[in-house]
Amino acid sequence: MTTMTRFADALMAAVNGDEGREAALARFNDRGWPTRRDEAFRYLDLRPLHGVDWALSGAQRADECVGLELPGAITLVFVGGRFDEAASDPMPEGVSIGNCHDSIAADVDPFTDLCLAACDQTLHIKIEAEVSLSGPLHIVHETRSDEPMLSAQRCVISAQANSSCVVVESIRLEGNVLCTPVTEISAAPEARVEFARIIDGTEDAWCCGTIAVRAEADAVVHASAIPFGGCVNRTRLESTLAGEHAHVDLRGLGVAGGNRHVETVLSVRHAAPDCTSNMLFKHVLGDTARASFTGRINVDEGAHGTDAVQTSRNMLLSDGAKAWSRPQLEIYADDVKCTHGSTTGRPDAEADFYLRARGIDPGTTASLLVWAFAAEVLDELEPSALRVQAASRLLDQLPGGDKLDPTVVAPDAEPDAT
Amino acid sequence: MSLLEIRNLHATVEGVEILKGIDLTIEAGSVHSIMGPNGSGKSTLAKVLAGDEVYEVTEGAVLLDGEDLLEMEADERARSGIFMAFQYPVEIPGVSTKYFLRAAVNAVRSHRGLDPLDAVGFLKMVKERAPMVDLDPTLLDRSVNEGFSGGEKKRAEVFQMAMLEPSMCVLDETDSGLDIDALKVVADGVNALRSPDRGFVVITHYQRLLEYIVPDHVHVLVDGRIARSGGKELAFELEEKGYSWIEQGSACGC
Ligand SMILES: Nc1ncnc2c1ncn2[C@@H]1O[C@H](COP(=O)(O)OP(=O)(O)O)[C@@H](O)[C@H]1O
Ligand SMILES: [Mg+2]
Repeated sequence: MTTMTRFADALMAAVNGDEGREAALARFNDRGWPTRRDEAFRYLDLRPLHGVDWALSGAQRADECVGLELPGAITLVFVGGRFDEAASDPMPEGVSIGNCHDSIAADVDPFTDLCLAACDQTLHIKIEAEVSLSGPLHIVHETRSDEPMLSAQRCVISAQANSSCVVVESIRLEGNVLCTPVTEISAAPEARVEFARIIDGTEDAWCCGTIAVRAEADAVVHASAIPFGGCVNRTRLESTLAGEHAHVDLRGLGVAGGNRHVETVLSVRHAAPDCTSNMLFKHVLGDTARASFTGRINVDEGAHGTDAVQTSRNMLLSDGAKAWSRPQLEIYADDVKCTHGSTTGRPDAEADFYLRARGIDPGTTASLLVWAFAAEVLDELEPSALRVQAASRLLDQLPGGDKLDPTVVAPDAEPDAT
Repeated sequence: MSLLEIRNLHATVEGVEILKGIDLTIEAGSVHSIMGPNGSGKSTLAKVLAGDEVYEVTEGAVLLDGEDLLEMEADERARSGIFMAFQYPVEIPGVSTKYFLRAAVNAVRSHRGLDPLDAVGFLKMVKERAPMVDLDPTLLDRSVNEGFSGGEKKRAEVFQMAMLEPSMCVLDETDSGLDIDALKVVADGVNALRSPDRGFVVITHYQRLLEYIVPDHVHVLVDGRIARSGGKELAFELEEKGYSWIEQGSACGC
């Protein structure tokens, strides 16, 4: 780790005497890459990352744009973690780019520390009190590189009291890329934040990111992670319910084929009374793809009236696909409702027969059932245009999916009224 | 040529033989009723005809319009004109009924060489046919069968049948769980679909339905075999004497 490589030099240069970033780099250098003996990395083989000499800049724009079209959105484009002003809309008030010392995600894991150390263009989104952002903010991250390249991208959303905003991050990775997106969401009392991250990547790209949430009293935060591509797609979700009656809704939908791995490591801390959290994570796995889900719920002393529901469901489309699911509950308060459930199975054969018995061909029925499975996550996405876009992404990946119309499959997203 | 011809049909599930040699010929325009005690194999017969792969056909043949039905996959059978109304319609959360049904209608239409219906044409057809079984059209905005009451599920099955215009209709206990008013509505819907080029197999446990859908032939299925066949009066006889009358009859070989 200490050999003077391009990567180490670049990191040292990036840190450039900044205290917070120096600390992050020190943590990263001291600990090195975790092994599978580390609880949070039990299912993920990080050896392919050992000794890789990443560059911190030099990314090119991906040939194909992410292609999400969100009507009325303000779009901000980053290439390889660096802001591309020419490709972006004018920055709205309250949004800026700069250095950031503090982080609610510090010390979460090595990927996060790597990002905190390397990123000097943090996107700050500050929504003033009582303000509702009219359209969604769409943050587009593109990184394409043939050489090993680290794309450190960081976004800090701070929603002041009683404000509301919708933020969508779409990440597209091509080539030999390790992307470590860190998004921190702080919701002041009564604020409302809708956040979604959609990740698409070629088969050699890694994305190991973090979404950290802190919700104060009566705040509502919805955060979704939708990984569709990449060799390894790991999302760490850290959430603290810090004020009474806060609510967080954390969702994920991972779709993977080939020999890919989707991982979610979730941690929800109920630190105040009468908060609610709802966690729903689904994976659709084909070929020899793997998914691992670790869901931890901590209920602190005094956090009575907690209501936490955690569900993880896996749909396996082949014999070689594999899913692990591990709930962890730690409860130090009384009068608490915590439930968790996990299922793994094949698409429902009876449902498939029912659809085929009405004349629909097997490819289409299989896609319909995957769709139906995924819809529970996708239907909740904001803005609603995102549902349709995510749906068509999903259908792209399914055999026979081209025969389905993403705008009409979901009962709720049907545009043609009766 | 007969519409449907079943010859010496044997079928097993999990290695256990359920159908033990069924012979049945259905002419276009006729209504056959199959009655029989619980567990006699009525639903098995219906599902074997519809192509459920859970059941294995071990012997025999089935011809639809002279074509080998057993060679076809379930979806191909449906497109070729078989429709089975499920005894227990399956709930499919997340799949819109409207979308599903339009896909089904268009699959069948394309098989018949017809142009697909667009959303407008489809909705027009829905508006025309939903009243046939007094179906609340808002049900179509929900997921397939999800949260439907027992009666709504059965109506929805007959409604689907009206939409798909099959030539061979198999109704598996479409009467079960219906009160008398709902039963009449569903029976009226079925009767409206009776036509000279369409055949029906109406499976029921009770004679009650047959007062409203009057069959041309009645067969009694006992332990995987047709133990007795007759006209509609056989249904009334059964109602009076119970299934034990036939079961005993078949046990002693008469
Ligand atoms: N999918 C199945 N798996 C196992 N056994 C089955 C299955 N379907 C039917 N059977 C068995 O086959 C026999 C006939 O069942 P069924 O055809 O449902 O009868 P009916 O419809 O006349 O009541 C019963 O003994 C039932 O338990
Ligand atoms: Mg039955």
